[in-house]
Parts: sequence; C-alpha cells; structure tokens
Amino acid sequence: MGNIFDVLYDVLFQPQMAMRSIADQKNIPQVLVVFFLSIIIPIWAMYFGLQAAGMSTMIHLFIGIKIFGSMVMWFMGTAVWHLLAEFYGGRGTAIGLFSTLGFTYFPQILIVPLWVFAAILPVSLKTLVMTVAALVILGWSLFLSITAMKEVYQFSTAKAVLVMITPLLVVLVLCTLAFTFVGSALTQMPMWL
Amino acid sequence: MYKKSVMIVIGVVVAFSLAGLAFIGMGAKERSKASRSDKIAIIYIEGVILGGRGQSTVLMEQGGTDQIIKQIHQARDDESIKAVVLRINSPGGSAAASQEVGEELKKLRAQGKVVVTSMGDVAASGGYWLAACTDKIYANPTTLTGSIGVYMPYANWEELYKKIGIYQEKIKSGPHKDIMSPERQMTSEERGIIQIIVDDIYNQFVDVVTEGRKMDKEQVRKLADGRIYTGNQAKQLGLVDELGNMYDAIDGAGQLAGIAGKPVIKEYGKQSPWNMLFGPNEKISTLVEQFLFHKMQSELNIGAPLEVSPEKWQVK
Repeated sequence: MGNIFDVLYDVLFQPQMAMRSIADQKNIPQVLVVFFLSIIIPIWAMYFGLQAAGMSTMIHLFIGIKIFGSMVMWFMGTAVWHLLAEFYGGRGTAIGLFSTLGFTYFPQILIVPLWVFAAILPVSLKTLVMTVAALVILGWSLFLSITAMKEVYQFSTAKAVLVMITPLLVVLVLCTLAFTFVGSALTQMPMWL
Repeated sequence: MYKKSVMIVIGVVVAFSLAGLAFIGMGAKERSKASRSDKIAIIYIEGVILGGRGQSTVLMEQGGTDQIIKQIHQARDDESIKAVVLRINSPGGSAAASQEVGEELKKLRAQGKVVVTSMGDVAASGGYWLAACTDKIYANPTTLTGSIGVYMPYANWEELYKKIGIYQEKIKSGPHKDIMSPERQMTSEERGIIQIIVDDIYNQFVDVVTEGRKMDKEQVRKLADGRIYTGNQAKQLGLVDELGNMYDAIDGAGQLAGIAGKPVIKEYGKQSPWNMLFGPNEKISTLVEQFLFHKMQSELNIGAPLEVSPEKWQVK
C-alpha cells in the first residue's frame, strides 16, 4: 500500500486488505485529512440543498450538529468499541481502531454525485432515489466498520457485529428496565391523582 | 497507477457534482425567492364582529377584533405579501369594532397593499362596513349583504317586574345615568338622545360607504335603509363590484397587485391541530344560530348600573 490514492482505492474496493494495512500503519495525519474531507464535502452538498429548500437559518445548526456529532461518534465509538473488543477477547490497539474508523466515513463523499443524479430525476422518483442513496452509503460505512473491527482485532464477522451492536443492545436493555420500573411504580401509586 | 487514475476520476466526478449542486441550489434559491415575494394573504372575518380579545384559553386567543387587527398588522409588515383577501362571513356586530378594523384596512391600503373582499354566505351590516373599506368587493349572487344602518335594542320589562314584585332602587348621579334601563319606560327626551347617537353612527356608516364605494352620498342614503340585498342585487346597485367566489377574489387581488402567474397563498388564523385540541369550543355553529343568539342576547339585555354606555351597540 503506497500513497493516499492507493489507500482510498483499497478502502472502496478491497476493504479487508485496506483496513488491515491502515491498522498497522496508524498514519494519524492521513486519517484526519480523510475524515475531515469525508465530512466537509457532504456538508457542502447539504449546505446547497438546505439553501435551495429555503432553510438558510438552520444551515449553521445542521452543519454544527453534523461536524460535532461525527467527531463525537468517532472518538467515543473508538473508546467504547475498543473496550468491548477487549472484553470479547480481541487483541488490537485503540489507535488502530481509531485510524480504521476514520476511513469508514470516506464512502459518504459518494453521496454527492448520487444527490446530483437524484436532483435531475422526476419529482416522484427524487425522494426515493435520495433515500436509497443515503441508505446504501450508510450500509457501506457500516460494512467498513465491521471490516475494520474484524481486521483490527482478528474477529470473525459474527463477533465483530456483536461488538458493534453491543452498545445499542445495552441501551435497549436499560430503556426496557427503566420503562418496566417506572411502569410498575406508577401502577403501585394510589389512584387519587 | 491504475488505482490513482480511478481515484482521480472519482474526485473529478465529486467536484463536478458539487459544482452541479451549487448551480441547482442557486436556481432553486432564486425560484423560492421569487415565490416568497409574491404572496396573497387571506384573513377571515367570521361570526359576529365584536371588539376585544375574544375567547381565551391557556394556550391561545380566538375571535374578537384584536386578533383580526393583529393579523392585518402581520400582513402589513410582511414585505412578501402584495395583496390581502378579506373573506367575510359575518352578519355584523359592534359599530366600534367594525370601525376599528375598517380603519386598519384603510391604513393597510395606504401602505400600498391591495385589499379585496370575498363575501361568503352573509356579509351584512358591520360585515359590509369592512367590505366598503377595501379596494374591490366580490360576492356570490346569493350572498346576503347590505343591511346598512344602525339600531340599538331596548327591552322594557317594567310590566313583568311589577307582576313578579321586583322594584329596583337607584341612586343616580344624573337624570340620564340609567338611560335604557329595562325596568322603566324611556322618556321622550331620552329617546331623542339615543336617536341622535344612532343617527351619528348611521352618518358615519354612510360616510364610510360613500368614501369606500365612491358613490353619491344621497344615493347611499337611499340604499342604506337597513334592508338586506342579495349579491346579485348589490352588484346592480353598485354595492358590490364583481360576482364570484373566493378564488375569483384571489385571482382579482393577484391582478390588482400585478402578481404574474399563480400567487402563493398565506392563510391567517388557520385551524391547526393544536388549535383544534386546545382552542376554545365553537358552540354556536351556524351564522343563523349566531345571529339568533346575538339577537336574543340583546333582547334579554339587563342594564348594569356601572355601565357608562349601553351594553350592545349593533350596526344593523
């Protein structure tokens, strides 16, 4: 694996090999450049879209949420998933996971030409194509995250998926418990309210 | 080398897409800007025209001319609104409230906004007062309008009070303080005082119609004997400009305001789901019921000793 073009090509078309190499090299400046490009280019496209929709007052809010949210997800995701991966017996480094997760945002750049394609379609197809495009990109990023987890910690696909969804499962269980306790507490209250 | 070429192609496609999105975005912005600058507002005048804030709930206020005036001010301050269609469905109401709204409509016109009236089932009396303050009046051929005149209802319950043994003691600061009290006959002097007041309000009403409709004052006086007219009759008499429904009025307002193409409509006082859930209940459903309810209220009017003026002043 050589320059940035080779790395990006491999991320898109040979993700397994690319993630293994990124985790080994831990080239943080390169990861930061790719991450911010992957965030800023779709935001730029979103800026034009919101402006066209007459939502200019909300542009800054959307951009702020997108940048801040993506960075929090990247840092916090790395921390939580690394801890969980170690619990599940994985042998990898947090920096390795951090580097590979930075590259998982790269397919988001491809949403720009897909939106342009959707914009020239008839109104009836526009929303459908835009939704499908967004879902495909989301699925692609998710696939890259799972691949990153597999390559960094030498997990099987099932274990990598389990690590990825564990935080979600924990939140679901906590919510269910909270609702159960609150519900039972309410039914125990006297009916004079 | 192959990988680099593929990534450069992808980069070029993304760059061109961004430029394309910027172009599409600018076009859409221009279109939305154009559409934002050509709006027609619709303000609804429904039911009996009464001053004040109307019915209030925890979350909102509804009815009462204060709300209508607020909507007129919003339309005046919104630069994108070029014309206002006043949709009137009212049997009339208080003279002061009608006058207050009428004056605001005149100010709105003075700001360069076109104001057009669309009459619904009924636009009589106070409803016609408002219509006379607008640039153009549209009515359906069967709309009931006119009723240009004033009356003050007064009920004399003296005989009934005697029968049931009620006698009201009054300590008055002046001889006319309890004028129109229901428990005694009005004196001829008091009748004269009230007649002068009614005539004064009537003359003001005639002046509004004369000025608004650009008609001869004597001609207006002939028509203003309190009778109602159909939209068809009103058109022949010059009290209405065109026969047509609300959409004709919107088109007419668009033409007067010089709006090219289909105008964008902005409705004021629209019923939102929030309003339906938490707004005041409309117990009196039809205009006929409202009219009867209003009339009955006036007939049963019992003067309050602290009132400076009689409770109801109806333009009829």
